[in-house]
Amino acid sequence: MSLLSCGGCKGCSANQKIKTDGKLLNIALVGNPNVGKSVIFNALTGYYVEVSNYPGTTVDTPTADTSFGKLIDTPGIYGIGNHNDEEIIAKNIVLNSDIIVNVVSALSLERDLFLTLQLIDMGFPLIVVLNQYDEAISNGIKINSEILEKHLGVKVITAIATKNQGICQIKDFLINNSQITSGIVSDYLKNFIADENLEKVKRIEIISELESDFDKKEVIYSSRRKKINKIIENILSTKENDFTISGYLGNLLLNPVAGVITAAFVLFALYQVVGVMVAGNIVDFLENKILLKYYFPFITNIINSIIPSGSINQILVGEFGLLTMTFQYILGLLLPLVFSFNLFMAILEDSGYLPRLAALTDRFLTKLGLNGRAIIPLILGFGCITMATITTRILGSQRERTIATAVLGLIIPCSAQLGLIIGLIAIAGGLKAWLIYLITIFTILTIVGTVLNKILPGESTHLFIDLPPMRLPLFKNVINKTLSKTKHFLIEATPLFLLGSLFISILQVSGSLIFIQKALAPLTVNLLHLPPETANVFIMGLIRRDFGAAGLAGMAGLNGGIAVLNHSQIIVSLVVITLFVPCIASVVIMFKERGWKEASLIWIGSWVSAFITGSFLSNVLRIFM
Amino acid sequence: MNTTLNELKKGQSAKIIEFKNPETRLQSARFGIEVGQVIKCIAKLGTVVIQKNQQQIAIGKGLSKEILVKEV
Repeated sequence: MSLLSCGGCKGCSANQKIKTDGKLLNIALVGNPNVGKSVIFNALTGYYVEVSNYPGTTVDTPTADTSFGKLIDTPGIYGIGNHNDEEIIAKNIVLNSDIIVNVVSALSLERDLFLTLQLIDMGFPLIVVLNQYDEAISNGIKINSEILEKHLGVKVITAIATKNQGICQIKDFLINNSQITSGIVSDYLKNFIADENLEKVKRIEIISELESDFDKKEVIYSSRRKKINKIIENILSTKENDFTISGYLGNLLLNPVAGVITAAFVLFALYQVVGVMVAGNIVDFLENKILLKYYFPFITNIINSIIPSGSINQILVGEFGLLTMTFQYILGLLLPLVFSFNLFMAILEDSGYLPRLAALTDRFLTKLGLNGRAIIPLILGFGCITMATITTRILGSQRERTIATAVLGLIIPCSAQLGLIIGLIAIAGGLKAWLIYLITIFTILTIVGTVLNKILPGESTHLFIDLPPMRLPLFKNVINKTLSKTKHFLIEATPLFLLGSLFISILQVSGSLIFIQKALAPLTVNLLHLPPETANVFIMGLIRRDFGAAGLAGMAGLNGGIAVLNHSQIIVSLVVITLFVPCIASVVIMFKERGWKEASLIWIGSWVSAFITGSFLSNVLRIFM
Repeated sequence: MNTTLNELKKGQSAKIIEFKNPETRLQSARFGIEVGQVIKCIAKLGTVVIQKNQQQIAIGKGLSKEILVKEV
């Protein structure tokens, strides 16, 4: 097996464009999750664009015009069908492609060939890229790619994409595309398709139809599996390799004790990086040393010199101003938090840790009517509820999506809020305050999940996921992924923030805000035993919970002001602001994802749960503290 | 003796006899696991993690009760 490194091969220097009727060829990059498609896309095009396996986090599919055609990346899938969002997206791209580059992993060829045979059965001209060959060798796996070629009837290129090996060969084949063939049609299809030489479109139609019929699908799937087993027998040899670091780590993380310790360590690291370092130090520096010192006076002076006062001035540079508060939130607060959180998540994602965490937490989450997969949106929620709410799409049923969205909306505090909560708990008495806070929040989480699990109709799905091997994340990949996700998030969130600020400014300018504050006061004073001005905090919390928490920080004397809240009042108000309604951006996304009925119920539910829990806790603490 | 997947202990190997749930059978076929193959239980967390060659799959308790296996 010779693996050529890139040394002046044709593909790298050639620049001619192959055209069919004046149009670039559509080339789709298709493969199972975690086989290295993104790295290959990057190596072939020079562009970085990421296709995440969490739908919603990437809206569009990356496309690049190259010298050999238009290359389109697709989400990782195990087969072409309608099983989930990713499959539907990938299917639509595949159906419009002229050539398919099917990436398979040498580590999991047995699994990956299923998709390969499906693509060959559909009659697509195809090349197979046998990637991650280095990992296979270190696991004692040897694959004879020449025999594989004979079985499939298509070109197989061995590659180690992370080391840029095999990339040139792929380019060469895409440029001299006359050598790309459609592969050998499987015998098992002959019972279903009479004419072997059907044209492509017709053929795809027939196969898709066959595979939407449950009984026929079973026959095809099982015959396809048998064929793969036979191929594997002929091409693959394994030498028992007792020990690999990746295998050892992967299994260690599945041990209940080691797994829990690791999870606690990861959460602690996340808390240190995002909660303390970024939310505390960096955000503080950006807001106080840069924005408040230089930007605010600058922009306020400009606006004041044009429009000295009045409603427009208030809307632009007032308390909730579009150019002041919105700007501060997006660049001073969100940007550093979202970036650092995404960086952390990219490392976890690329290392193969998250699926193992899902397996570890599956049992507990089952009690809440969820399964281990839900750990992904729940963890993302500690970064940003808005982003996490979109990610609930990965869950298998509507009821799981409802439960996860409710838990996110009601309970999980986002990273911005977490930073402030951590600071306030330090004031309220350290360890004791932490315990009271955590026990309360965890109890509510369990109650909400258990109750919804009982009352919602239908059944939740069970965990059934594939655990990719543990890998050391590639620095370049992690950075690129982080940047691309952060950019997507900013593009999505900015308009919502502008709308939210505009809304609250209008309330303020029209005098409605004061009215609402007065209407809320009895609730805070009588129910929660908090000073009347706490009502302001909840109004702020309507827009963003961390905005409310920031207000609380002032009342607790965190910024060096006069403390008007005692210790138990701080804990009560922290619990209330945590359970209180999610920020406007999240609410908008909740309405979009879950429909107005469910989203309104969650919104009202968070008012109810926040105030009932707060009132209960306040009475308990009055007795004991 | 036939038993269900959730009854396997960590480290035990077993042959898959039957998937009672047809959806699981299809999904397993995609993952590369089917009736007649020998798998090994590598973790029991309520949730079962099985391994076949390099492939590891986590299966929730509810589903693992519906997969018949025979210890080998």
